[in-house]
Amino acid sequence: MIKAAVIGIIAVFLAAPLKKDKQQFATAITICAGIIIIGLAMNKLGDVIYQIKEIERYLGKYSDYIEILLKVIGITYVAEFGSNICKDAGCGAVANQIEFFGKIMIISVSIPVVTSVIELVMDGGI
Amino acid sequence: MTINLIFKIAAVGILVSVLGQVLKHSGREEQAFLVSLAGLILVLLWVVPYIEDLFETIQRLFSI
Repeated sequence: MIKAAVIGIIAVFLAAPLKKDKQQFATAITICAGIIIIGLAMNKLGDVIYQIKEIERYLGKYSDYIEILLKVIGITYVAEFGSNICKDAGCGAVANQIEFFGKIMIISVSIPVVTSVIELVMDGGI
Repeated sequence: MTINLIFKIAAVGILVSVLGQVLKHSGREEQAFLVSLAGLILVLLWVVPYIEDLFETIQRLFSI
């Protein structure tokens, strides 16, 4: 855990002098620091997702919702990472476009869930 | 891979900004611009594979 914080602090200290005249190198440093820090957590993330997939077996009929849940988490992470980097570089418009695209992808992925809820309500006669 | 990539990028950035200043003050504006462009392309060549690798791993993990 300490390694991630130290890498982040070192990257910020290296990016600070470059932010003044050479903005693009500061952005490159922040991108690569983010990648290294998430790279540290990648194998733990793999284990967590493997456990979640284990749980999926017990759900039986509703097992594909876990799949959709994982997709949504992945889309959120990528959109968040991309938009924050664009915001750091100063382009807020591009960041908003990325976030908006992420929202549309999430809606398109989670349509089956909505339809199944509506079917449940209709059949159940609640 | 971990930290020396950041140091390499910082070194290239500082070198390019210093070289740019020197060239600018000696009147060679175009070379200063070319040096900063070359530095930027070099850094992009280093960083883009890691970005592609990260997003490919995320795609594989979350089965997007």
